[in-house]
Amino acid sequence: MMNGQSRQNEKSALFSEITEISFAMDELRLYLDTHPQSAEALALFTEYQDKRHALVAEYTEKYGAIYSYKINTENGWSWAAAPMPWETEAN
Amino acid sequence: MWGYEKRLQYPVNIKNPDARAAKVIISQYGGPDGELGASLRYLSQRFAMPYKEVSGLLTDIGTEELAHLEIIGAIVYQLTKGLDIPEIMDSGFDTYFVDHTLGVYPQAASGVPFCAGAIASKGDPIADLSEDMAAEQKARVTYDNILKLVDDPDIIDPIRFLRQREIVHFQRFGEALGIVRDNLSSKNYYYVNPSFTNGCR
Amino acid sequence: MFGGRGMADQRRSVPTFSSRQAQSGAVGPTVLAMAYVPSQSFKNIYSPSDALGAGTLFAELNMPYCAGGGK
Repeated sequence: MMNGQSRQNEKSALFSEITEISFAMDELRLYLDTHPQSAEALALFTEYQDKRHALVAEYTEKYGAIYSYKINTENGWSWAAAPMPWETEAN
Repeated sequence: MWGYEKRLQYPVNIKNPDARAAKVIISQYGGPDGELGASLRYLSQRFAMPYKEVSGLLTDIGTEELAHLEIIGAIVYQLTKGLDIPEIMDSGFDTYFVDHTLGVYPQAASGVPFCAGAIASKGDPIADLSEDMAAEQKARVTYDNILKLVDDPDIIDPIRFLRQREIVHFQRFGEALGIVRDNLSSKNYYYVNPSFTNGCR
Repeated sequence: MFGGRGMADQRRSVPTFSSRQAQSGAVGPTVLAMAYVPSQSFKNIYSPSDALGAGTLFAELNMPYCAGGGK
């Protein structure tokens, strides 16, 4: 049974992975903008796209949406529930 | 149109407020070579850019600069959170505080409010990309200077990241200029402005 | 514990390339009154975690400043 601190660590670790894979995709996006024929860049982008999709789906299910189109509305409007990204607690 | 994800592109977690650092870092929020100017420049230039790979790049880098604007805002916010009046007065932050309290306002470190005069959107692909390359170098120098002025690792960490982004963006704009060249005649790249098809007739 | 000093130290240890080693792409035929940036080729890719710490996915573009802990 996970205690509060280890749940927070798992949440932070998952959020961290999303930050990292998103940045890798940001870099690949710019590279592909100027190298649209690069098969290697495209392959890595596609691999990360699948990985990111899974990470974000897991995070959204366990801890809430980071993208408002994906918000779960079963228990009311929760967009403001998590701290805003400029607060230290969110980083 | 723009989506928003509730996260920063790079994390900011500053443990110790520092009004002196906030005073200089705010230049990358609303100063002449800051992220607001950068995003507005690229997102404005993209409309007249006739080559879709390049307008795609301008859209993507312009969007990334908005994310950087947010990071700088977060840094200034965390550096000034919880400041007391003696700290505000000792650091010289009082001249900002009197007009904005601890609100984040787009201005340069000198106090000059954000001005679109610092950016260009010339409607010519070669001029616009040359402007963009110069802009990335100016932003990089500003981050170099910030790194000389701060020593808290919590501040240095995101500032180093933002500085490195400028170098990557410079490389991409240089490559985009190559794409523009591929679409023009090397006999004379300046014979026509491809963004203005009614010229010279 | 996430964030702060620990992550900063961890992220600073990725290898960089000196500008003399970077050999991505020739500039091709050049003419007067034009600026040229060599085109990058796809190599020396960091892991996503190292990339975030370096500020780029590409070792060849990793060019830190002399202040703020750079090499």
